[in-house]
Amino acid sequence: MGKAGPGSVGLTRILRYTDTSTAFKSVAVEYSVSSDRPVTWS
Amino acid sequence: MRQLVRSLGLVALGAAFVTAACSNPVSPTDTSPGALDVRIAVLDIYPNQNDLAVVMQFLSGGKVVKFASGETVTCDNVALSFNGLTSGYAGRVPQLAPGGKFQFVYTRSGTQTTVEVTAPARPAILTPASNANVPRTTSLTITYTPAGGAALRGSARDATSSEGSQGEQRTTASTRVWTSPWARPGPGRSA
Repeated sequence: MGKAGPGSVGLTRILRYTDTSTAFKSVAVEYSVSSDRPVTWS
Repeated sequence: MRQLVRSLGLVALGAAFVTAACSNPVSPTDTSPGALDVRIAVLDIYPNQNDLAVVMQFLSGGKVVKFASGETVTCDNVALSFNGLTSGYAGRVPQLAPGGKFQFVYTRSGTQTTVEVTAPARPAILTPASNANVPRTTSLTITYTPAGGAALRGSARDATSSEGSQGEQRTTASTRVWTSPWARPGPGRSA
């Protein structure tokens, strides 16, 4: 990350779990959700 | 389409959650739900977009399944098609507000099996403040509101490129601080 000027920082939260409430043999879920925040690199 | 490939590629290559196809997918005779392991990946990493990427992968005996007998897969009524890049049934669906439920539906011989996935809240970044001047140091701290989840990743972008943190950080502390070495000082580089 080298250029001065406008940019952003971000975070991604990762949730992982299993769901045993369905008729499938097994269910595993991974959910990735992000936020961004505009910044100015100096 | 380019965005879809990019997003789905991240699912396969970044999260490595869905099983990569080491061999050709199989089309087993028994495709009843009880014979199938399912992995679902939701990639909501572009908050300014109205839709997001989803993948529903099916495994039989540990092997990736590609259905051949008319089975269908949808998410919120959007048909998901088999995508070799992700080794699963993939597509883009509209975003939901936190608490909304995605409906993944597998239909076989007219019988539906549904998996609900609840949309979580986005991470709440506390600092740096919006439009703050941030030095291009080798250690950037991002603070955020604690919430659930298995892990966090950080990222940074300038006008031409982006970088992500290496690996994942566990979300265990009550006050969260992300320190990452991506914001390196020095001359710019081309994307």
